[in-house]
Amino acid sequence: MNKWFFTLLIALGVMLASFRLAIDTNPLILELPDKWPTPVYTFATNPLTEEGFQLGRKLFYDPNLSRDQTISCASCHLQYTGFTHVDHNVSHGIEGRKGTRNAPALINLIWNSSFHWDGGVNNLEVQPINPIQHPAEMDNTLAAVLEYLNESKEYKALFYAAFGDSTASSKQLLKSIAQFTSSLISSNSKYDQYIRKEVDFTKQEKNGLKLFRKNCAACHKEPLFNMNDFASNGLTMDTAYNDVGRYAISQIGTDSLQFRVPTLRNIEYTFPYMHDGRFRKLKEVLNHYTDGIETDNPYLSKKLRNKIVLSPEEKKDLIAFLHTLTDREFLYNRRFSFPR
Amino acid sequence: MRSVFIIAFLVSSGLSSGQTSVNFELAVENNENVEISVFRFYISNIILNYSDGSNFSEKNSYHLIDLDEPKSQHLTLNGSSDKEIQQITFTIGTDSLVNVSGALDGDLDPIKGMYWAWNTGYINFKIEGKRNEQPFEYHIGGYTGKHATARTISLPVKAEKSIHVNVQPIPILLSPDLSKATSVLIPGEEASKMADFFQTSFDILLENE
Repeated sequence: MNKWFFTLLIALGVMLASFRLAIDTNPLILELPDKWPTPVYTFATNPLTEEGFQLGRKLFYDPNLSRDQTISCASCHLQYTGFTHVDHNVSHGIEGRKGTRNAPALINLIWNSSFHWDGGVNNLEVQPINPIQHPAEMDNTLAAVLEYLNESKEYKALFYAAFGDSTASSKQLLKSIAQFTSSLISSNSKYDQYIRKEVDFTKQEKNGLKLFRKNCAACHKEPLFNMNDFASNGLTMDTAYNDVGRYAISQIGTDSLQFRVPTLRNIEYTFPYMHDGRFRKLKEVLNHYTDGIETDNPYLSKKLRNKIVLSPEEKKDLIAFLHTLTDREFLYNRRFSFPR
Repeated sequence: MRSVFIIAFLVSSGLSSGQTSVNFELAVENNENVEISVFRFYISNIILNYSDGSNFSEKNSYHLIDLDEPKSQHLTLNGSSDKEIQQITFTIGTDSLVNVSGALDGDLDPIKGMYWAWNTGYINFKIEGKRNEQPFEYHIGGYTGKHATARTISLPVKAEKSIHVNVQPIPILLSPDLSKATSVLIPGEEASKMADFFQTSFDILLENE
């Protein structure tokens, strides 16, 4: 008798556990800029909601995700500088540990088909596992992060509001962070306004755009100013890290020293530049492209095999154009800032 | 969660109509030359072929088999038929689809330790231990092109309700081809070769039923 009653109770428990209470969420529709390409990330298995976005935002700014509770995602991805670690050549982790690469800007990520300088990550959702687990970043485990979240009444309420289940799982943790990072869209720079014919460029900016299209746009394609591909731009191998780039992922010899072609949006603020942050000024970057390329590098991109010639005046014009890619609305959008 | 396990345990003790069990017998008794401490692998996309020509494909068929988790070695396929089974087909490892699908749960949860974050993808199988006193460590994965490591095999069966798959990694670990490779931890040619070897360690125990 007792046994039957016990079985019945268990059965009831299973039914209740499997029965997802219908929850009210506020669906969000991401406004995509006109005439931009179709995003790679589609939200098909991660419907965007206000609740999911806000949970992801809170997680992004929470230092408790790191093993010693000191580092959050935002430590290396600061909003005001395009979600990168301004003025730091490589990323910093807990206890003053240093990584080996420059923290990339988090801008227009839903158009990226891969992540990291070597493209090793194939889906926006799974990227955060890297900083959480990397010994030189948060040095934590997914299990410890979930334990922390499941002990927090506040988080339990937020997970319930977003997913109808108060238990934090790695799947929901990652999907909610993706709801935040996927929303980081920058499409209202002076350049965008110029393309939409809302403002005019100065003579210098116009000349800069012309020079850009002639010399740079083959890889940094408008309107995203990046490419979902890898290339060697003729940098010498960094002596500190001996970073082979894409080769570490693909094991294909010709991928040596190739890195993802990053976006140039908000480039005015995302310094230092290159995968190892070796250049602090845009002028140094342009000097590399005109005079610093190692032409005997067998992996050098074909698009850089013809020498780029720019006069000092032209370099100034080009930099004036690059500054039109700054999107202050994005950099100061309060929806993306520390949640208060 | 605990109650779910209890129910699962009650069910597995006796199969009802429409259920087939697939049991993985891991032959890892400590051989004097080989000691296995970690042994985990994915089995996915299980298909049963019946003698009347029909077949059954398990839906959402991804299972992590773990030497340390005896329960994981006994799968129950629900919605299958009670007809005579002639052949079982399954993939050792995970298909490329789940490797590019972002955050997943269940046995595919990255928390299970069978996932690479830095080079996205599942570790299709993991074997660690000692061979002739020398430690070895194989984490085999990779899902693209010639570096793909999932292997689909079909094995003849004569059974109705339960199938016993024998997995014997020791002869492979002792084969001269492997003696030089003490650790394979990234996708590539070596990992691909390991996957070729590993698939030969699966066979069906006859006298089923």
